[in-house]
Amino acid sequence: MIRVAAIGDVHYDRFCLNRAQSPFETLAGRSDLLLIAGDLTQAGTLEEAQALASHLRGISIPIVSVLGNHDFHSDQQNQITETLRSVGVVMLERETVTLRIRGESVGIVGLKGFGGGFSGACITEFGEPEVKSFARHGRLQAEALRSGLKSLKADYRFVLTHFSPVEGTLLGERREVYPFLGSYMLGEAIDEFGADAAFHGHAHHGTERGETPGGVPVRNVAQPVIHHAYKIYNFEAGTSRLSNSKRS
Amino acid sequence: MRALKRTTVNPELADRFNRVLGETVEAMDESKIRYAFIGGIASGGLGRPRSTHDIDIFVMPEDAELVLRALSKHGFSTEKTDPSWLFKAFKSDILVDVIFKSKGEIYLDNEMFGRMITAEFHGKRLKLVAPEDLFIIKAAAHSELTPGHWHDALALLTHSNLDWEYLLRRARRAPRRVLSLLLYAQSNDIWVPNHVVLRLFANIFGELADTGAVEPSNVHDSHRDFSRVQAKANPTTGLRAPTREHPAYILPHLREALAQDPRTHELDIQIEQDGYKIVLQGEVTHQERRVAVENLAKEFCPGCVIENHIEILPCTEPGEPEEISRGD
Repeated sequence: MIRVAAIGDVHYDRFCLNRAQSPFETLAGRSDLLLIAGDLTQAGTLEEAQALASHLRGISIPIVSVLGNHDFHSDQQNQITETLRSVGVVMLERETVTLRIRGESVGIVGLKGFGGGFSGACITEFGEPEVKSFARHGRLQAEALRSGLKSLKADYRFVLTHFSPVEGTLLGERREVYPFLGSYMLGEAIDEFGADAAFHGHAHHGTERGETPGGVPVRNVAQPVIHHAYKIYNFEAGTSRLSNSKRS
Repeated sequence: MRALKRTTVNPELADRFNRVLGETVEAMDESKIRYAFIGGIASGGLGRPRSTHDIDIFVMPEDAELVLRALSKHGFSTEKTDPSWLFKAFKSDILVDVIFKSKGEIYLDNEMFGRMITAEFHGKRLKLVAPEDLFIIKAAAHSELTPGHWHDALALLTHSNLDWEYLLRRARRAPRRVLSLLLYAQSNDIWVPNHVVLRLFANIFGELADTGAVEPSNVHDSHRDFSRVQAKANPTTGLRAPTREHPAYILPHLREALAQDPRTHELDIQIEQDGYKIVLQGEVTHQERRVAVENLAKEFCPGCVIENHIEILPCTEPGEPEEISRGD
């Protein structure tokens, strides 16, 4: 069994700089791995990332994270990434990592993801360059997810994004903003190559649980949804339903 | 409370009309949907006596379908005549127009609903829009085919005591129409204070009114007039506070400011607006952020009352883990 702690949208800001108590102190012993689904910062500044880094430093379990849209706001995403790496966080952007946890391999594909919308209301690469560029960014993210999952060999396979791969976890958000909250293309990539679960954030008014059309569990772990410092998900060892996974 | 004049002269029709009017009131009151009478009933109650054969009720767009359901429950047949502004209901050959957008983009809103007055008609209490709102609705609705509106509006000037301040503010929906109607009224020796005419003129033409450099513009009333007074832009963000703009624009600009201002960068506050009252809702991670959002809203909307209902997001220890089974 593996115990995955997950949280997203922690939105550290300048007010968090002097906060002594780390909400992650209690993690060790309860979980084997912490996933952070982006929006680490509020304004996307280095100092905010430093505040989060100080809270993650010394946490003894592996931490894997992606960036969210907020982390890009001040054009300091590279410094944010470096800052978190310096305290041992595995920062993924269209990359995979395989960890060894109690003798089993745990693979994670991590990327920010992007909007684009879902069946019946999604953007296409057509028209003005700005629209095409929006649509294209979403498609490239999904392609990266697809190739990451295709190559990922591990006993447990997880997807970590900021944007949502499914509509189901957006329930509670205004429908008008769905195309800015996620893309069906992410879900499609997950269903093509399979995963044990997908975690995302971004949709603060959404709901926690959903699944892809192919049946992969999806969890929206945005902090306003989870209402706790993090949430723990236990995955029993066993055979995956999905044929592309290595265990089958 | 006012007494309504008789609406029609044919006794059989009058009885039928009154019965259906009563059933309309009953259905609407039972439904608790916010509404007010406009059209002939309101004109008859607030202005000149005038015959009417149909019943016009004004409702909020989000309630229009509920109104049809409520009336249908009371035996009215209904139709969704035009989803952009009008549904209809019928009973005993009497027509009820369910209007949710009046000409000139005028909607029933909370402020209008709050100003509504009650009139008595055959022992029934009827809710009528305030005379100022009816005046603006009529001014905006006037056209070659419906000249009656113009004169219905003039009659409001002679029969009702208008609250000029309220009229001036609400006239932002159709300022040129209202100004021309007020000038027309003066030309017919109907009393309208000069200051009202002059202020409405200044509202429309702003500083140009003083320079004489006024040029006619072809722009429709409802989309102008608020941009004339340019608010000072915030030097850091380049954002402009909508001090004199139409309240409909406050919300999107405030949302933009909360997202872009370095003191907040907050995209997640739900903002509700009731005229010049702004209600902030949602959750943030700590008190400083809650205050920062409120302060920005106050700074950004100087003329508004800000109600802060933002709560602090709990960041507590998680509960029991969720077991996710793998495979079937």
